[in-house]
Amino acid sequence: MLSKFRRIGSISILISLALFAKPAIGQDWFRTSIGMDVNKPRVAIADFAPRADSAKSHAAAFTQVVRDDLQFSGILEVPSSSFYPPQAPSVPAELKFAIWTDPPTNANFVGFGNVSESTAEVAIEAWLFDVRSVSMQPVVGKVYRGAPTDAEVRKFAHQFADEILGKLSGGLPGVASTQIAFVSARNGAKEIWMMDYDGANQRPLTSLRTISLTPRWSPDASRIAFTCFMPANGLVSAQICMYSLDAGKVLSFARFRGTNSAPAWSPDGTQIMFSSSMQGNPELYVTDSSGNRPKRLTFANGASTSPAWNPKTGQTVAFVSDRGGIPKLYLMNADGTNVTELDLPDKGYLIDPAWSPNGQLLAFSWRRPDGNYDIYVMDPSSRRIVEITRDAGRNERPSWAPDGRHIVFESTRTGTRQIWVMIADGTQPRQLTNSGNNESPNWSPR
Amino acid sequence: MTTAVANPQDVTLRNYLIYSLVLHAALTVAVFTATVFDRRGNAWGGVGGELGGTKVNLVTAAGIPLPKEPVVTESKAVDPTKGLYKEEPPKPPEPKTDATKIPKFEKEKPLPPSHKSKTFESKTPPPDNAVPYGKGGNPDVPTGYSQTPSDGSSGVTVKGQGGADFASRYGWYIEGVKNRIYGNWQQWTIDAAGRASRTAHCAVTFTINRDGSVKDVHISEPSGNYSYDSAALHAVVNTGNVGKLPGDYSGAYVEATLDFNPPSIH
Repeated sequence: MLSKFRRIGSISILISLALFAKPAIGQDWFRTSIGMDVNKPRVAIADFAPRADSAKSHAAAFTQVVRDDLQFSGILEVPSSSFYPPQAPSVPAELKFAIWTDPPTNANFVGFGNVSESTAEVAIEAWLFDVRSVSMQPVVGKVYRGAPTDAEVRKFAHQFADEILGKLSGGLPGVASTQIAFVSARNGAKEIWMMDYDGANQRPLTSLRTISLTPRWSPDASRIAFTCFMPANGLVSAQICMYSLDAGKVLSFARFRGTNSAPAWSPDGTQIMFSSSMQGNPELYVTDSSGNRPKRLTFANGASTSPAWNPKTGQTVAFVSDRGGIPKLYLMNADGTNVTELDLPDKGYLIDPAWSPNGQLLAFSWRRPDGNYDIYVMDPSSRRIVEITRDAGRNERPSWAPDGRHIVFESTRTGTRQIWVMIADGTQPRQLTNSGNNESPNWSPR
Repeated sequence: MTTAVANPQDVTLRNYLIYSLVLHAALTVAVFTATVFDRRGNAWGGVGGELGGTKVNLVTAAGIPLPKEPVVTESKAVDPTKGLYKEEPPKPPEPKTDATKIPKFEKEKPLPPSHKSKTFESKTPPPDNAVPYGKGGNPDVPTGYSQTPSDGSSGVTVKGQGGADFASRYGWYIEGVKNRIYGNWQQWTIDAAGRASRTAHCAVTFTINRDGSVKDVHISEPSGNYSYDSAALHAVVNTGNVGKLPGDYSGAYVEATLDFNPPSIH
């Protein structure tokens, strides 16, 4: 009886499962190719149409900023506007796919839209269409509304460019809305400054009137740790300072004896590693994000400084030490164990290590015996190295953009020390600062 | 002392069996009802069945809500369809230049120019479901996914029932996949022979899950040069995630084959 019952039950369950099961849906697949040489899609950005004369300048500015952002992304090609069809669409209904795909435009994608403006508000409708697709849906479609100011329009343009880049780069966010912190002495004292990624909107953050160095963004981009010379009890020494972008002021951070410098954030933002001579020799220490509970990590005869925490794994730290006689790069675990030297084929000074966002590449400055400081990128696992600046002044302090495709650095190639940015393969160098001396850039993580 | 009585378990099982049969009968009726409703509700997407492809009824952009973007309070970015179609009504009053264009677009809407390609008709006999990309045929820009050489060594080959038109509908997504992986293709790790070769080619096949993560990465066509294959394989593995599949794509995953070519071949 029992076995009969079980058999009936099993059959019932099987029937139920069969009925509930959805039919298997066949899957798409595609095949595509990439070549060693650059293979970029062409994105045309039509002139955004002003809805009234009052919107003309903002429409032109929006168009230009979007074009610049896309061109500098390194992954797209923006055809010259002289190749565009004479009639620019302002809404999707006006977009004729064929005239954009035909020569000489040869576009794969077309961005367009319109700008309306009143005394109280600017409204920008913006679209991106894949003009070689059978789909009539926009790849991107946005409406931006805000104060009718130049700054707001620039911000919207960056946001639209980032939308496009996010779609066309496999989900990797664009960097058009990111910021760069740096040190500027243009007003006398070295203060921490900030600017848009394209050099626009440069403004000071601190006004300590002493010396501020080595700014480092927290992973959530809410704070900047830096080296400062804040006097306390009549004593001036290098300390770690913390600037809050939310509060707009310097927050308290523990003070230590000796010289304290070169802070680096852990990827989760809970710890800070820095170089300190609180016990005599400059060694690496780690504390929490307020400077509490310092723990010594390195024990060597030479000085250890410039730690860089692998942002992906959080387990490896690259740093500089002269324990072998001259400054060289070393790797260690985040708890200070397993220190290994990154032995390079040539001698010379190696400084300023900076991990790429994916934690796979290490950029650094290297002064080879017969040369100047230049920026190099290394794959630590294979020890392969690529030189990405050459014969153009002294190039130092690289910092990666969050997209891993751009590097900001300081260079003396124009005679004064300025901030420059380039694609991570060394192409498209662009000068971002001009006024005074500017150094030690650090790219915001978002 | 034991007493011989009718086995009480038999009585209990009989009752349960009756209950079970009644419940299963009710369950079967419910399942059939649910199945009928389920099939009826899947009218605009899913498996086409007889024709072996997904049946997708294209509707106007107004009918398809775009994926909602995170609303940034400062920018007041809003859903484009809302903004667009709220703004549409006031536009007709502009008689200046749009008077002739708007009706034209209305006529063209059902037949986008991309479908009318003559080049495509005459040029591509082999792929029965080849993508009428743009004007059709091979665009003269180097986007590999739109090219359809029949030897299968590069370009798009699309088949299957999950829509069978992924490459034509989501060219932007494929462009993103290429860009993302290209960024992780460390060509410097290829030995001198591999880099100097003008004929080296390998293909890596992998599966893209809905969340953009990749799995089952393997060399499907080796080049014969270990470092060349290794760099290609690592490019995909190290990328890890190539971006979420398009929100309106109905499939659970997509299989992709990426050809890694020397400079002169795309």
